[in-house]
Amino acid sequence: MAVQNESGNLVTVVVLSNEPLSLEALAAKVTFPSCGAVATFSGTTRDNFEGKAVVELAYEAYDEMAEQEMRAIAARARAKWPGVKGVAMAHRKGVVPVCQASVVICVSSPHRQAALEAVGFCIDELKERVPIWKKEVYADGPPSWKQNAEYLRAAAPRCSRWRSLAASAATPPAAVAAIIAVVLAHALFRRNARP
Amino acid sequence: MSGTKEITVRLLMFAAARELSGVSETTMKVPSSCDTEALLAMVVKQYPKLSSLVEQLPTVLAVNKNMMPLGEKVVLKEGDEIAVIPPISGG
Repeated sequence: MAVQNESGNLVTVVVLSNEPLSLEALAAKVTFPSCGAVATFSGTTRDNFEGKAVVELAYEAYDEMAEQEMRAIAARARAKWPGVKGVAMAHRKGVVPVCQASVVICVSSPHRQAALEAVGFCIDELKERVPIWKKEVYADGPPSWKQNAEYLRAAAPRCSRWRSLAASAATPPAAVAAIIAVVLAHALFRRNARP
Repeated sequence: MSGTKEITVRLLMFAAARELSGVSETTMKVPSSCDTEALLAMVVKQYPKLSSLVEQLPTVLAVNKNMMPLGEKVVLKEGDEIAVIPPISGG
């Protein structure tokens, strides 16, 4: 499904589709006479993960929420880089074979710095916030649902159980005891060292 | 609980949650006023195969297409939509 909004001279394109993505077509949607830069990112299926041969990736989405979040990311990108004119964010659903794109992001601006930085921002935000899931299918062994590190870093504070686990992992009892021992030793040393 | 009525919400499951429960879309009766941790516990009670996912990975709920922290109080109305969100992996 493609959603295109034009607000004044700004164009935002959000695509969530089972069809193969066309980088050329998406870049064309955000190419304008007033823009000297169109920066793009394509995320393509890699044939390996941690030494395992990957046959394909399969993507599933919470469609309406994913589109909503992509539009929100585009809006945040514009707020950070006011010069940005066109933003296209496209994600493919279903099976994505090796070397094909699962995600394409195109941003246009008059000069290149905003477009290049905004593209990086958009893919980082997508990996943290957009409800899409990737299943890695291997040549050998069962497939595996992946988890984005970007999401896990941000998610821990959202899950109360994981927040307490993360807190206890950060300062296990042995580490706390060691810290106390070092502080006491330091205090004793300073007292003994006084002339 | 007096003063808290029971309503019916749409319940969506995705990815590992969908595979484990065998459900992608259904309905569930829940109290109109509760918190998201209790809601997730109700879902796991109804679909016990979700417990391994919820125990091992940070799984949250989206309420009306907004990701909610676990423990957040919510007021739900008839026909609202909650979704079980395993850790995401787009891009």
